[in-house]
Amino acid sequence: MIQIQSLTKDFGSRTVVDNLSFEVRPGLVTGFLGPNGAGKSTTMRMILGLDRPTSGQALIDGVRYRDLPRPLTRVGALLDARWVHGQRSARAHLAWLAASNDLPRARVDEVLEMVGLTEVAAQKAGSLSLGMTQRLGLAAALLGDPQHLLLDEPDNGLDPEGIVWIRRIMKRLAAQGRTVFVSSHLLAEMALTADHLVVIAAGRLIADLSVQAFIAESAISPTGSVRVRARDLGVLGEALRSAGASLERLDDGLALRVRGLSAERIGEVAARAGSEVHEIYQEQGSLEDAFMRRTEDALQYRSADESGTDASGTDESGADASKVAVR
Amino acid sequence: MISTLRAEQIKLTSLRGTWVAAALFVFFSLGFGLANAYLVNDPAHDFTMSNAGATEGIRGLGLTVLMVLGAVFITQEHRSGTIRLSFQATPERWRVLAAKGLLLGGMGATGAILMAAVAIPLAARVADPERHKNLGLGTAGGTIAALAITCAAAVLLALGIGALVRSTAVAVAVVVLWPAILESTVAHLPRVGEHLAPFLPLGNAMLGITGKASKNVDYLWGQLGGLTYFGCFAVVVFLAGVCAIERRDA
Repeated sequence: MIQIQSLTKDFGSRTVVDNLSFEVRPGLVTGFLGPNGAGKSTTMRMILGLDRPTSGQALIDGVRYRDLPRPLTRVGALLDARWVHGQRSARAHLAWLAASNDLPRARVDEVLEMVGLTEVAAQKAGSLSLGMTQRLGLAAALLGDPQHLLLDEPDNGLDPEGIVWIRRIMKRLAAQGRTVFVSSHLLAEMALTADHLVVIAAGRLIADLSVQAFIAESAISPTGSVRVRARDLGVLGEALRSAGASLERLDDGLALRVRGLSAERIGEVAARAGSEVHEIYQEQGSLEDAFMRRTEDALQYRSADESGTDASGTDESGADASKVAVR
Repeated sequence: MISTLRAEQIKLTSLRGTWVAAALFVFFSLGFGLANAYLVNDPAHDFTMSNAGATEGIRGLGLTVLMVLGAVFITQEHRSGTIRLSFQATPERWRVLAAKGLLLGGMGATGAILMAAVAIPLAARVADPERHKNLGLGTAGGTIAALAITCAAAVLLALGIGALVRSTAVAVAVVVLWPAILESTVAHLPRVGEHLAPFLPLGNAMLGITGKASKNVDYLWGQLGGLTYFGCFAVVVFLAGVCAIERRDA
């Protein structure tokens, strides 16, 4: 269990992480979501004791990271895979990490095998591709066989095969009862991997809920949409409209895009109307939309909140908000 | 601490730069002693050969090589980002710097002793016996001890500077320019220069090794005082570096 308690980090007059509290539970992949610059990496650095919190604390099984003996055996982290010396071999890179925490030398070869880098282990780290460097970073995180894993955008630079591979690894680690905390700025990516979501924007907590709850919530939102095909779309359309949905015809009238109702509710309405449904598809884009809207709301709230009191903070939020809108 | 020391040893020996530095240290340490010995044999000059002359390369460019190695050993971790992995692995950060100091300082001292043990007999063999002046390992105990202490302290100084400035370029520039330019510039400053000169660290280190004051400098202490002064200065800078890495965000 990783506990974040009222964590705050100021860089000068800028508050990057703002009174953040949440828990990361074992046995689940917890996605840590937020637009770029939301404070995800800073939060992770504070968990690892690399950045000192301005106030609040992060605890790992009730203990600060600093107070963990042989911390690599408890927490494995991949914050930035480029943190390697280019002139040092991949094996030597893992060897010094292993030595620092009294891990057996054989463990280095084990994790190299695990991430598929055995063949290039003697090569200088600087000569590895971005994807291989990412694998080396994951090997370093797994070195101490830790109960807790912190991964900051681990699919960065991986090819599609590598992305599937790392997803599978994360799920397997969680299934083994480990705590897997993984950040991303891509919701669709997280929806496939994570069981639970912690969403932040401008350093503040926006949502802390299961992926299912997030999907359900976003489905009934005005911008969430469900694609529906049925034998008699006219009858179903009427029933849906009277249930409060707004409709849009797709594919030359062969399908409907339904907004304002969840997929579950659409199923109910169709059953009651006796309509034979061929397809109910939760459109993925609505998740992104919901995520964007949530973060945007939070940023606007923050701008309004701080206008006049802290000019620089307002500028920062404004810049972040426009970034969200553009994306 | 043993495990941190072991990790630092792997870091140090897994980089080619370390071996290049070691080769340069040997080259300069022996080369200068040898060159001095040949110079002494030149009948046109009236030189004598002492233990200090035989080991000039160690306290000169050899020392600079050690300091560059020390400065790079810590700053390359900041440059590549591995310092954060080091602190993840060893959250008591002072241990990381202490292990570097112990390892590299020990190597510097050992290197100085080994090189002196070779350079002095080598010079004694090459230089004309008529021009020897207390030359030989039998009388070199003090010089060698002073060299070992100075080399170890210089490494700590370089590590401290590196930890404080973090940039490889700046740290290397400081340790290279310090003996070559910085100290003599300060000593030649109008009015204040002569008052500051006795307190310049490397000048004191040289006093500590050779027992001879550099020209026109009135030291307040003798050979042992110079050695102690330099040692204390290095330790203070090293501790400042430890404080900096403990306090800063990595």
